Amino acid sequence: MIVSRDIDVDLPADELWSLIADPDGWERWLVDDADVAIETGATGVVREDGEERAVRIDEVVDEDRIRFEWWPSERPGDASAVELVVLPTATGAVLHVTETFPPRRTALARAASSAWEVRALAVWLSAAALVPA
Amino acid sequence: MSQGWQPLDELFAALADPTRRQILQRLVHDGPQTATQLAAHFPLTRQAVVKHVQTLAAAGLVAPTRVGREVRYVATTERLGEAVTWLLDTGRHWDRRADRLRRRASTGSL
Repeated sequence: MIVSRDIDVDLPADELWSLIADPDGWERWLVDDADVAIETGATGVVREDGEERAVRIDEVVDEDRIRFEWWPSERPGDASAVELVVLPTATGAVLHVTETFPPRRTALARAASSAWEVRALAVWLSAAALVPA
Repeated sequence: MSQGWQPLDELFAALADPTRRQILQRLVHDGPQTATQLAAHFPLTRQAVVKHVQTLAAAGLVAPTRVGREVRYVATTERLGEAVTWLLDTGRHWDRRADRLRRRASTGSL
């Protein structure tokens, strides 16, 4: 399953990058509290809405993208993978976000997961419409 | 999602097959049925239907119930509900983060 968003912001790409490549930057928009170095291989914790999540930074490509996995600290089996990609535009930048559950790393797997997601939704909506609450 | 990722992988694998999706939808629409009753609606042998239904059961989408000498299969869509809940919750989180990010950018309060 994949959730993705394209967030267009009125900022140059390098300023947007500063908001995703630094724990202080994370605390300005991503989570309430970030205690993790944004470096490949680093581990730490973040907090959001009172919930603590463990984080492992899998990849940092300077000025370009970050990949990490995170999971509720008490439920390590519920890990999901997040990728944040900075894309410069004529007027600012776009942050392309994908969160994938369970974590998958290849484009083929991501495409397959997306197709399942559509099928699962179609079956579930069909069922929900026909089964009385 | 508290059951971890592997059961959900099974769920998506089970739904990958169009015949299994049709079997599940028929069980949702028409209520519990035996493999013989299901086979009447598909160009499949009863044995093939049983295999598909067992795959659905392993993914938690169908439950067998014994009525006398018959085994009837019942659709259980809670697992699909879990998957949809994850999609909706995660989407809401990112929408909120996107709002915060745009607000920071527009007010220059970096």
